[in-house]
Parts: sequence; C-alpha cells; structure tokens
Amino acid sequence: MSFRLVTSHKAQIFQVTTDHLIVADAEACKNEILANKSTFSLVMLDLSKVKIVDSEALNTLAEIGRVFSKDKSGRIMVIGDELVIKAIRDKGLADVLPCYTGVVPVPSEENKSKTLSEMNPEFFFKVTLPAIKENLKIYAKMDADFGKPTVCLQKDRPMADIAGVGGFFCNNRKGSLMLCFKEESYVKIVSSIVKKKHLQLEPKISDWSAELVNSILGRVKSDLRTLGYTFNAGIPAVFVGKDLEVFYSKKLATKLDIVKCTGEFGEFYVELMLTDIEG
Amino acid sequence: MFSPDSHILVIDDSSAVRSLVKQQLTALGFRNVLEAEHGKEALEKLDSLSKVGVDVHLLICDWNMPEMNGIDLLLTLKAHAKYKSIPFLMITSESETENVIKAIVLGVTDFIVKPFDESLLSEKLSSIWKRTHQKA
Repeated sequence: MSFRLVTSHKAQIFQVTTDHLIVADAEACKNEILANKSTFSLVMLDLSKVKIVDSEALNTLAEIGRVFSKDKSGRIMVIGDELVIKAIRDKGLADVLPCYTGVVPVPSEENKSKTLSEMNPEFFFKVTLPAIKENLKIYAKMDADFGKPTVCLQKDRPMADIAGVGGFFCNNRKGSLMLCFKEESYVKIVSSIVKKKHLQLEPKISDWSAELVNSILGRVKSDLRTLGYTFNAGIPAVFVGKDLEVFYSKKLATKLDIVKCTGEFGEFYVELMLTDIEG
Repeated sequence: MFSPDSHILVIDDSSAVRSLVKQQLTALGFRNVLEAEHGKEALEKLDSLSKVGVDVHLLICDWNMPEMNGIDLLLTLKAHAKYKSIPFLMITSESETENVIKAIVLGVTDFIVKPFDESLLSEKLSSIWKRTHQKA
C-alpha cells in the first residue's frame, strides 16, 4: 500500500493506491493521518482504487474518522468506488466517514501518460450509454436496452416531438449529444420520474429532456476525466415541436451516429454529432 | 433527523430538479419545502422568511446556476451571521475531486451527485442532521 498526499485548498488528499484494503494498511493510514492532524483540518481519503475492503479495515477507518473529528476541528471524508461506499454505508459508518461516490479522483500518473483511445462515436457511446442507463434506472426506475450504433444522414433521422441537446468539447473534438423522444415515450419516462401521470407533453415537464442530458454529460465528464481526457459540456437546451426538425450547420458533419434505446417506455434515440475542432 | 416541520429551501434553475427534490422530500414526510430558481432569489426568500420569524433549517442547492451560483450563495451565507450555520447540501453533476474539496473547504456540509434517488437523499439528510447536531 502506498499513500500520496496532495495539497489542495488547504485540504489534504490521501490516495490509497491498492486494490485490497486490509487492516494493517488501514492502521498505517490511521497513523499517518493522525500524525499529520495538526497540520490540516480536512482529509479526503481517496479509496477509488480499492475494490475490496476488509471488514476490520473498515472499522479502523471509522476509528480515524472518530478520533480526527473528536475535538470538532477536523473532518475526514471518503471518496470511493461504489462497492466500498456501500460497505461503509451498510456498516452504518457514513456518519463518521461521510462519503462520496461518483467523485472523480485526480487522474493518476498512469492515466496521464497512457495513449488515449481515439474519441470516435464508438468510444463515446461506450461511455455514454451506461450513463443513460444509470440515469433512467435511478430517476425513472426503468431499464433500457440499446441497439447498435448506426450512421444516418441528417435528413433521414428519426422524427421527434421533444429533444434535449448538450454541446461539449473533448480533447481535439467537439460535438453534441441529443436525446430525441416521441411524445408518448417521453411522457411515460417523465411520469415515472415525477411519480405523477402526465398524459401529454406539457411545458412544465419539458425541462426533463435537458436535465437528463445535463446529468448524463456530468457522468460522462467524470468517466472521461478519470481516463485522462479533458471534457467540458455546455448548458443543455430543449427543442419542442411536433415532428420537429433539427439541422446542424453544413460546416459540421452531415452524417450522424444514432443509437435506438428501448424499454417499457417504448423507444427513443440517442443522437451524436462529433467533429474535429478546427485549427 | 430533521423534523417534518423543518423548512427546507431547494435552489435550482431547473424546474425539473426542483420539482423532483420537492417530491422526494414530500415523500420523506417534509411539509415545508420551499423553492428558489437561483442564489439571489434564495437570499430574498431567506430574508423575507426571517422577517416573519421563520427559520430555514436546510438548503439544498444546485452548483451551476445563472444569477448567483451555488458557491457564490454559499460564500454569501457564510459571511452572514444569521445564515452561516444553515446546513448546505450541494447538488452537482460536477464531481471532480478538486471541486468537491473546494466546496467543502468553503463550508458546504455535504454533496449529492446527480442522478440520485429518494433513499440516497434520505441518507444524506440523516448524515447532515447527525453531524450538525453533534457539532451544536
């Protein structure tokens, strides 16, 4: 096990760079943190790399949390893999070890130096489709399946009644992600999210198409940054209209990459436009 | 845990998120859930409630908003004697370590990363209550 201290905004991050956290490692971690107690008041314990955490080790981490915050001068927080965070919560330790999952750790030196996969539609979908699935699962409690990505011309794209679209930059590429819904599917999804049955597309529920894009791109941003990419997304917009038509500038790609998403809600399309940044 | 009569102010420019959080809080039994579209409106609401003797017990606030974003609101509140101790739960899709640490150092009580459901929100409220209660 090794620890790395990173100073940021008067806080310290302890990064634990091992797959298995065992009690001896946790003891070492405890000693190091407590030995430095007087020099800082906030510790982020980054367990993102830890996949398995020993039950005793967890108790030792909780002890650090208790000791560190005993005189109310210090705070210790855990960033971790979902399984590790779940283990902390299941043991009822979240009060002494406030934790964050989905928090992107500082990119490792390994990720910084490795050759990145080309940011092509196939790779982008590989990151984006799980984010869409997760959002539908958590917000709407709905499962989603995806078809294979296909390429189509702008004029041949599937019709939609509402679309949420967000633009982004990623390394040397820029693009937009659009979720295109027919009214029936959209209303089913949003009704499930807000736990209130809506029968038609109303202005007060149209915001959800942008919010879904916003949340999805947030997750994509986190995942890509972990892999070493730079990624920035803009504020999503909503397009509404019966069988609406959306056209990109002719300077951009005329072909689009489309993935059909199906589930109990019916279907909708995920549309990606990806192009090089000029100059 | 926060009492069902606690006043909770939800601040988000997205009406979708505001209504979702309000619905989740209502399902958790909270009866006094208030809304604001951005930081400035939140400050106005806090002031107007204060004038009629109503204390807000928790702020649930988006990070990215027009007018006054979550961090600017947090800084304003921390400089305000009356409001600086109100627990502040930040909603965000910005989940980089640097941002999380920056907000925590500035005084945010806890974070919730989108997407989240009712059970995670409940867990966060419980955790915030215990921590702020212990500190009192």
